[in-house]
Amino acid sequence: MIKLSQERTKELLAIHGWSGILLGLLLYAVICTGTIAVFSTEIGNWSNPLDEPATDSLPANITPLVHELGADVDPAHRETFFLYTSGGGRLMLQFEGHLESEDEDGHPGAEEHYGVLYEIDPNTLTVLNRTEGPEALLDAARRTTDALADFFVDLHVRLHIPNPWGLFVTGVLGLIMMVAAMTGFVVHRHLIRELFTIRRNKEALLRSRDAHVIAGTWTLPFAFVLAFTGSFFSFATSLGLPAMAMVVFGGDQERAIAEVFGEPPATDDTPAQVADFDAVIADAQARTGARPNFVAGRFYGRADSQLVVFTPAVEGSLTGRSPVYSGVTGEFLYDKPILVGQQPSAGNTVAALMGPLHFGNFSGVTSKAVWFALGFAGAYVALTGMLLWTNRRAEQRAWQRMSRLVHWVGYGLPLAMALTPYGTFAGRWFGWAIEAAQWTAFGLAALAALAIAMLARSVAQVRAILVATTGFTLLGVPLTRLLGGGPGWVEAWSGGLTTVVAGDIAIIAGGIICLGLWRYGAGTSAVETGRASAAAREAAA
Amino acid sequence: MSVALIAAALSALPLAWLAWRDPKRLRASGQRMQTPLSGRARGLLAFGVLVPGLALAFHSAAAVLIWLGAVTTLGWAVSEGFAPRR
Repeated sequence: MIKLSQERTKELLAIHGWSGILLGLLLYAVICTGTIAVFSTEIGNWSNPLDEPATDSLPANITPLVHELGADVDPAHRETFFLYTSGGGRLMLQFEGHLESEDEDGHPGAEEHYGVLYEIDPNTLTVLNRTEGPEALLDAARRTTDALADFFVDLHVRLHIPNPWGLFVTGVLGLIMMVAAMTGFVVHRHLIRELFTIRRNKEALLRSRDAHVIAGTWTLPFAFVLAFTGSFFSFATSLGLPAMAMVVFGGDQERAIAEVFGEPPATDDTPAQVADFDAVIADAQARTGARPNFVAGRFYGRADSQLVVFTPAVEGSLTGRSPVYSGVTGEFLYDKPILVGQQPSAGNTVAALMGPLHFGNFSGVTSKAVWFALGFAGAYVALTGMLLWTNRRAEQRAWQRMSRLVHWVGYGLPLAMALTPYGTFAGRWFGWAIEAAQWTAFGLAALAALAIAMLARSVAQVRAILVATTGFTLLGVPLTRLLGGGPGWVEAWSGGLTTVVAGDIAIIAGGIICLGLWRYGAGTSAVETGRASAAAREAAA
Repeated sequence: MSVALIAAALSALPLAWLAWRDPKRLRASGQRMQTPLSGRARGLLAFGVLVPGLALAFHSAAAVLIWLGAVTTLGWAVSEGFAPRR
């Protein structure tokens, strides 16, 4: 509770409101998709399960297969390699190198990434799919496996805008959220006194104001943390690293990367044996107390090969560890800081905390569920803030249009997200390109929501139609999954695919809640009632 | 990490009591029959909300974070739950 003059309060309130309303719609989209993306691993396991369940950790006895597949890859394309799990617990083994293209005259042209991606069943250790080609092709193959989760994650991370522009946009949105959180904190004079006061029995504006303020007050610390860490991730590689390279290393990004992420070992391209992956993974598990879930290596089959093994956080910790091994002998070399530098430092400690604080993935489903709730609260605050701002100006025609726009995005985005899995399953069933099918479903829902927002009699009707449609759409998702070739509940349960059943139940619960909100929770905004009295407006301010 | 959820549930009890007898909430919802909590009682209950979190500090940072996130969302849910009907 900071005491401010009335004039200063008005200024800060204007900053709070305008910063929110100008980019609030995009910010709302980022928060909504981020809330869902908290469960990206579970979404992958639910939407594209294998016949038998697999863990998110690396399976045992993989060395012979990795050696066999690695030998099958052109040594030129084995500069880097990665071993990790994807949707349904599928094991992915990826090799990448550089391919030098030639121009029309046969002169060397630009280099591009080229490699091989293996999709492996972790239970039977059989190759399900092999893709060879440039980076874009590998990306497309990888995204097919985890298509639905990737769709939401990409929407959250960069709004599907090409890099680095998408990251700039979401980074700025994070800053806007921080400004809104801080100014909201400063202008709210009765932070503690009104902690439980929601005057739902009063005028529409007061109701809107209380709904926004109370949700915002309770979740303020986490809103700030999520905005800060989100901005950090957006700007770190898109702006921070190039800027640092320019200022400190005279524009030499490779030197900057080497300094930040660790110097590469001395080059020695003599062919050499490849380490025993099972022994390395077992040693990393023994050292860290957690089964590794990611291995990154360089120079496969060479004397200078190294492996970085990433393990998740053990019970009670926020961050995992990343021991480094020789890629030749499998000998443990040293414990590498997770993000920055070669040895433990305060900078690395702070940087390493950004991930768990933003993703909430440090303690399995428990922490993810809490982070989901916090994300939901954040989306609620953003939406109610925009509705409050437009309702307070409901008598002006331009703001009435803005209100419809807010209703379109506010209630249309969840509908579009609910319809996206229909595209995933239809694409898989009919053999269409899954990403395009997802975009079609998402886009059609967004267009339908826009038409409803434009043509409905009132914004209350927009809300009612969109919330009800979202509810019915969610109820139909499990059936679509089943029609798309997914396992039924009995089959999934008896096969140990509990994520499939749990996912269906969660989606059905979401549908029922939407229908309940449609039936019993319809809010009457000031826009259509026109009952916003001057006194209420003043109080809401 | 069930210890964090148990701690959050323990914090929710004094939190709900705080909300139920909150003076401003009672005034705003016109519940004149209910006696609001005194300042001292509110202070004690607020301390009661924080105690499980403080105890978790001896367990792990992860547990404290989960507890804090759960309590803040529970606080919001309790406020919504005690809001008067339209």
